[in-house]
Amino acid sequence: MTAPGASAEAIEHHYDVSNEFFRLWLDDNLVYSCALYDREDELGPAQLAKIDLHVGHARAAGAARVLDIGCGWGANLRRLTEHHGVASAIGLTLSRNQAAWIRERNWRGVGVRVESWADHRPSEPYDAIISVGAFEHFARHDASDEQKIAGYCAFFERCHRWLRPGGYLALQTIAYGNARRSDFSPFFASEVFPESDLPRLADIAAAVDLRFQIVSLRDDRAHYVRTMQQWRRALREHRGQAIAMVGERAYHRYDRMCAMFEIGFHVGTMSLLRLALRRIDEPVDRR
Amino acid sequence: MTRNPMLNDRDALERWLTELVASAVDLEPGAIDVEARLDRYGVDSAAAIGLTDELEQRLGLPLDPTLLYDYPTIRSLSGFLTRPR
Repeated sequence: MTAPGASAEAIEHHYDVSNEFFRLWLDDNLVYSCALYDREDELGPAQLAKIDLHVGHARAAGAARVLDIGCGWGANLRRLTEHHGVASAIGLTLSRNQAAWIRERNWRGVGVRVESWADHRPSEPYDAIISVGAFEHFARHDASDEQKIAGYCAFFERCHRWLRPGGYLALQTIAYGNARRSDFSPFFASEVFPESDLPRLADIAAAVDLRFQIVSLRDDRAHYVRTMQQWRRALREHRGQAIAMVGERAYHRYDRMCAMFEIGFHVGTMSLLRLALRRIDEPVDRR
Repeated sequence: MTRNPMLNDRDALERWLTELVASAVDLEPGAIDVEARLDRYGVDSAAAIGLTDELEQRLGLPLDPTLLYDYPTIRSLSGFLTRPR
């Protein structure tokens, strides 16, 4: 099946600037998504706390096989195997740079594939699935509302098929808050979410219906305000190095991206959703 | 960054903020009401980021890009900026 969301080229446009560039302003584990500040103040510990929250939501600790959809630079995979006793953690990414980075680390029990979820064909079921900061790219910006929901349904249907009975899916995604698609600046569509359109909470609720039970739901947009502030501060502190690596234009694109996200999460045009979803093992017929 | 003396003179600060906003949205300073919300003049998120960056540099204060959303008029903004720190 053709993935209903952004293409590999679009994903690489955003994520393949250079690994070294992201090392300048992300935390040591290169986690490129909203952190969790329930008990932490610093970015690094707050990112680990976020991973641990999702591991808890997915009931993944001690599991034999866990899938991470949109694995980035592998922080979830590493944490699952090194800290949570997972035997095998498999990551999917569309970015070749990220996959190469993970392979070079040789983390025990960690595997990575340059593959869309739509093309993934696991040989065995998974005990748990985690997906953080990937769902934003699962619908194309030119899709109709019906096409968007159909794409999301296909994603949850796959996750349902791949999970063992009683398994959990932990999902984190940015979503539209108090805004319409047309309210967003063209900057987001062209520079931040190439080819992608954000979900609304109602789209997710519609797509999980009769597939997953929503066990918990948080909107942590204030946490993304803090994450963006910390990223932007670090990026600005390394301005000279960053420009030397990626050029003035890319530096300003990321600086502006952080500022625009900070505003969006602050005023509530965007939400940051974290969901724990339990597989419904015997869903009733849809009709 | 050096603290700008305008931070001790609210009237002077408001005059300068009015000129800055007017220039950003291509209006005459006389067309800007210090009590009106800046989005009324077309200050969107991109303009707000540019204005905040300029304020940060010129006033010598670290400022968040959300500043103009918490203080959406020149009057409220000048009040915040001239607060003792």
